Amino acid sequence: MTRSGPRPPPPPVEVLPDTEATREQRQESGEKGLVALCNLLRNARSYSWEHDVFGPQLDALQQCMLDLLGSDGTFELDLAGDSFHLNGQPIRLQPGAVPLAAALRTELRHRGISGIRASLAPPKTDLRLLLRLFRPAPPPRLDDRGDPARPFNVLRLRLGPEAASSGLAERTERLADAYAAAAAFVNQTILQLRMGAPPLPVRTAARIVQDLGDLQRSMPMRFLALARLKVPEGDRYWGVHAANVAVLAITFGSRLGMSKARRHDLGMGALFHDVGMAAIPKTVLQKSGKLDEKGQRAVKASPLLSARAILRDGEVSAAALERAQAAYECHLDLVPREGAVPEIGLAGRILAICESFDALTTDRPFRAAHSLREATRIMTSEQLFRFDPQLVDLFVGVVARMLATTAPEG
Amino acid sequence: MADSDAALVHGALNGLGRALARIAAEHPVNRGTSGPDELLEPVLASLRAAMDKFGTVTVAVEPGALRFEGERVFADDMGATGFCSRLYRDGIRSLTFGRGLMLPELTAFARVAVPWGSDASGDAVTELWKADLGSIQYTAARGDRLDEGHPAAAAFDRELRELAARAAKAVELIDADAGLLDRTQPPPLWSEEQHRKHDPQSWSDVARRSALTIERIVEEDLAGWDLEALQESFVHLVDEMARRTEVPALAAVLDGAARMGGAHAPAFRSFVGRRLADPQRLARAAELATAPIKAAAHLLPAWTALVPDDAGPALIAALDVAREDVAPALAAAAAVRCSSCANELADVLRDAPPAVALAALSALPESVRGTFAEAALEHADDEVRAAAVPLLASDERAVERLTPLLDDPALRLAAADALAACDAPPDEVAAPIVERLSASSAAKLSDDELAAFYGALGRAGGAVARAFLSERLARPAKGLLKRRRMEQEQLLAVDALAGDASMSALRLLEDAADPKRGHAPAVVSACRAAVEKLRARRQVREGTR
Repeated sequence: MTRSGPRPPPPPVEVLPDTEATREQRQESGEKGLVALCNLLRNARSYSWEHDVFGPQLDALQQCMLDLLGSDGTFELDLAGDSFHLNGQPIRLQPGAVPLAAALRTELRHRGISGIRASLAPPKTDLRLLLRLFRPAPPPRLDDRGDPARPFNVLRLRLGPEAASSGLAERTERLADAYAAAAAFVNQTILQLRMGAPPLPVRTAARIVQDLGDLQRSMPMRFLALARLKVPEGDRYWGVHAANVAVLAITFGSRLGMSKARRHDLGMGALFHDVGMAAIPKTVLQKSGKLDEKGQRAVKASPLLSARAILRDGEVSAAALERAQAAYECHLDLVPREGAVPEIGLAGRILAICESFDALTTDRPFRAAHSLREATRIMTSEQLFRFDPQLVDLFVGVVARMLATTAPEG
Repeated sequence: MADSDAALVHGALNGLGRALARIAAEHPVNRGTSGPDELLEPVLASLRAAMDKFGTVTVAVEPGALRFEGERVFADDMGATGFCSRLYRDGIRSLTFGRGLMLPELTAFARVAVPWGSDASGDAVTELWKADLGSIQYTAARGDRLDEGHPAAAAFDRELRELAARAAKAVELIDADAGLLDRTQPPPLWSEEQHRKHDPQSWSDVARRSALTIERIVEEDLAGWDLEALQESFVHLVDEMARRTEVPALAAVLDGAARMGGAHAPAFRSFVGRRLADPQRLARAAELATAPIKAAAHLLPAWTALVPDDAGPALIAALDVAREDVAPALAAAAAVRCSSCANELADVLRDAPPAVALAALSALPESVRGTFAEAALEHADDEVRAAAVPLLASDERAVERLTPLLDDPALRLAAADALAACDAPPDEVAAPIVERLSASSAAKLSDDELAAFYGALGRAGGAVARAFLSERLARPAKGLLKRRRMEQEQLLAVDALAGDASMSALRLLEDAADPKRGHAPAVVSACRAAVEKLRARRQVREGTR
């Protein structure tokens, strides 16, 4: 058990004589600069680092640096314990800025950065590159000039021990583990249901989906590339399919700007959307030809059986109900050939697209896999009645296109 | 750490523990006099003071306690049922409070630690992860594997290892993250407004759809061995909807349950209905039915349609707490189930407010109307009593029961009508009416009453009625002052005979239509018109044959 208590302040830097006036000037410039840095960090989660939205904050940060370079001859921002020191002087923040500063501290530590320095006036390009470091997915490695692939000209970083490695290998391993856990969870759930044994705990699935959600944010392309994984064995298909749907849905949800909680709901819905298959005989699922009437009836019933497997638990929280409804509704046609138009929630509409996309791009006993291009063509033409047209356009234009770039040949 | 510093942190964490314990004790809806915010606000101040001093404060979570730097700072009196144990059980091992902590974040944390309502029924780790609290971080035990004791644990691990190897291989060559993110990190595809529009995240909506899904599963005979569990789930949903005052959703799902088909539908309805008949639930339904929305009017009919036949006493008990505008629906539902609550229902018919008694009367099954109508005749309100009179017509002793009512000015009209409609022999029906029309008190009857009595005689038919009508036609009372009245009675007699429509009545009318009988022109005309009408009717009838 440890507590993050006060750390020793950084070694003092050579600055001009410390008069009351210079201290006040440092406090004023430092506070402005920190607030600008905090705002930059906040927006870096939503906008590209090249976006114009950062203009005013970059100006403010640059001005702060110029002021301090003018007065002290150097700019040295250090993270000391839980406070920020500028040229050796602790900077006090207004109460409103405290939460932002806490977030900045966390992000800096996460990247192993303990200070930012400049001895010359930094160009705007350097400030943009600094901003680039705050994207959700940091560069795999940092040195004192930032990302070695896009180094600073003037700015320098003071790095803590954490910065030596960004843990890419560990995170990749975690990613593979989380994905495999998702697939194994679904397969084992189906197996348990087939045997009439107690189902696997839902909270295990919840934790797996948390991992998937976190990893999607930090390594989105590797994460999405998992959806390319296909297994030929019949028995494993449903687990890998569900994990792929979760990967696609979490990615799509993230691009749409859905909240963390909603992305979790999507992932959970994806994992459970086909557990109803447990009630369908394997002979039906693995049949290569056309199904007879009994087989068709069984397959048609599977969405309700998936919902049944969830609803029988009696949970009435929004998340549990969303999971059940998404599992059921993702199999419904948005515009059915007959009968009333069904009510389908957003999760169901997203999962319908992801589910069809993965199924179409996978070898099935009754047909070969389609290419990504062919699958998207089918979804936007022959099967369009099944989907929300606006969502399917966004999916094809963004997620499917991103996935295409992860192809080994691409 | 100095003693004063330690005391500051200990005090803050102990305060937090006590506040959470108090919220837990007052859980779930009965939050007592203090809301969570009110309890947490002083805690926030002391936590802030500690964090201002130390930046972050990390506390270890143990079953039944919070520990700071090895020292116990809070012991949960509730033990295994307290929030510490819940957090520990769910996998939380430590909590770190950082600078910038605000009340909404602390409240969100409290909602996870001691959930109230049903929103946070997931495990604490998931809920904290979802809440994404910037100033409250946590560490958790690993939860993405099955416990060793789980029967599927070994198979799960084996499969996981095999798949993980493949997954790692599938992504190891992908190095596009940094480059692609640079190009594809535009703003989210949807604005806040679009999210609100496409994803309203309404519990009511998803709960309604889930309840309808359960109905569909049962309707399509797919419930299998989960039927009982699904029934329980459905009732949980109904209870939660009632708790949250989701009236339209409730009305929709109950209506759906009433209409659903399938082999298991009756068993499903019976189970649900039995739960809905629970007195507390009925009282809540009566309360919800007063909601100022359109759907509220449909709630009680949908709700009571499902309750079982023996739920009469519960329905009547619910009248005590029901507002007067919803009580009639409950009374009507009880009346339909009168066999289970005969005595209680009779009391309602005697004493309840008129609207309630009237609703119960109108809903009585036909076979028992006469029996219960007598109780309603004891009601103080004339409208209720008048409404009860027609119900006596179906009683076996209708004449005996209705005859005295002919002397009650408030019920006379209804009683005459009811007598005419009852199944008793015509002469038995006519006799009491003739007796009253022949009595000297008949002069005091109003025009409407007179018309009702004559009309009843016409509808009853029979020798006694015709003899009386014939007599009235043939021998009108003499006297200048009585002429108008007698002519009126003659005309009523003509109408009554026309109503009788028998051959004997026709002959009497033909005879009276003869001008030589000396009747007033108006009477003669009425007789002729009636004769023509009856003849035409007979011709049609004979032609049809």
